[in-house]
Amino acid sequence: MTAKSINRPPAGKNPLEWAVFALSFLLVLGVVGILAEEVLRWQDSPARLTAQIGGTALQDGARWIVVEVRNDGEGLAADVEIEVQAGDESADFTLDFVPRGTVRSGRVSFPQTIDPAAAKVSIRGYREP
Amino acid sequence: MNFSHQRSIPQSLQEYGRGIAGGLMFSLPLLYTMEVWWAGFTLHPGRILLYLACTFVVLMLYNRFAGLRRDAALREVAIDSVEEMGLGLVLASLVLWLTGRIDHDMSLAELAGKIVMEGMTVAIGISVGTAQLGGEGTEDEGVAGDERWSGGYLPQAAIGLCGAVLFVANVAPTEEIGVIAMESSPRMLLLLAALSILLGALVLHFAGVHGADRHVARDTWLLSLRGIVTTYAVALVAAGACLYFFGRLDGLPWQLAFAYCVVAAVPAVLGASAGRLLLQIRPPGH
Repeated sequence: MTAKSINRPPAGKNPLEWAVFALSFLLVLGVVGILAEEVLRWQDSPARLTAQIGGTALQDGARWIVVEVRNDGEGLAADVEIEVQAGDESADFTLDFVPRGTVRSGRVSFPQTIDPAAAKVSIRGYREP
Repeated sequence: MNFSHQRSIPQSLQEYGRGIAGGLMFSLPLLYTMEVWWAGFTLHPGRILLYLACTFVVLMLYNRFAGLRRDAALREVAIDSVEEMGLGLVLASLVLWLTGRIDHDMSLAELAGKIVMEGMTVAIGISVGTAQLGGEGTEDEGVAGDERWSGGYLPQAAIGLCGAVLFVANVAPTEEIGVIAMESSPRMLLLLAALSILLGALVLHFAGVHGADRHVARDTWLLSLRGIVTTYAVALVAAGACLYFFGRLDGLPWQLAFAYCVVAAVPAVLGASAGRLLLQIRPPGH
């Protein structure tokens, strides 16, 4: 045994290390719990998408319409194509992903003369990754 | 409970600082890779759980055989591994939030998936950083290793696996691996495999890499051959596992999946050879 080890205080973790361990343990346990619950409720079924107008705004001479897309199904939807129609005008955009249980949003622009109350949103299709 | 170390709070803070620096250094490419963000919600949650469990095993192997706790009991190694996972999750969350990859509108499952897929590599980086970035004169520097364990064939293979994972995890999730695998002819894949084996042999036996004289068995040609073959096998396993965990092998025919593994094994073999030697900061029993 060296002189250095003789002078060394009794081995053990200090309060800071115990606190970090305790928080880490709870964090890892929480993450495992969330993922385990997801595993238990997982079903191999397709995405169930709904889209609705989330709001409108006049900005820079254009009428902007916010569209919110929600996935209440089990599967993931990729490349979700959204079309918005307002009178004779139409606009579209694509969302990369809408995971299950989440809401993703996008915006389309129209001439400011359109009636935003007449705007209708539809989902053209999506890809199953 | 018996522990092998005693640190003051400032020393612990220093060690956490080294870990955070290492965690960011080794995992920053992944934190900036969108395929990894996507993996958090495209993968089955069971696979993400398995990834978390496998990372825990890799951390245990590294901490036991190559890190600062070579003289520690299994329980102490487990405690340190949990700490590193927790810090990895916190650090990954922070970077993902700062870069706008997570927000309060996301579901818990998406948040957990993204943070775990990023945080586990950060945790391995924290473990390596804590051990590798330490300066002279710290308490841990004087720890005596157990040569019987850490110098053996299986421990060296385990450390090689840690090195391979650390290297290949940074490229496995990217589209580029698939592009190379799909566009390579069988002849080119064979050449890539030969290059990987040659790289392993070069690093372990001919390049004079620091630590090779102590950690590479080379008493007979058979032992040398075993080391080279094992290094490539470990690299292939690490490449296949990382590709699987990032969802890159899903739906592929086995021939193409194998091509992916051969392509990803090139960086993995560097991790299993040079990385393995660099990860062993001190010779066992020094």
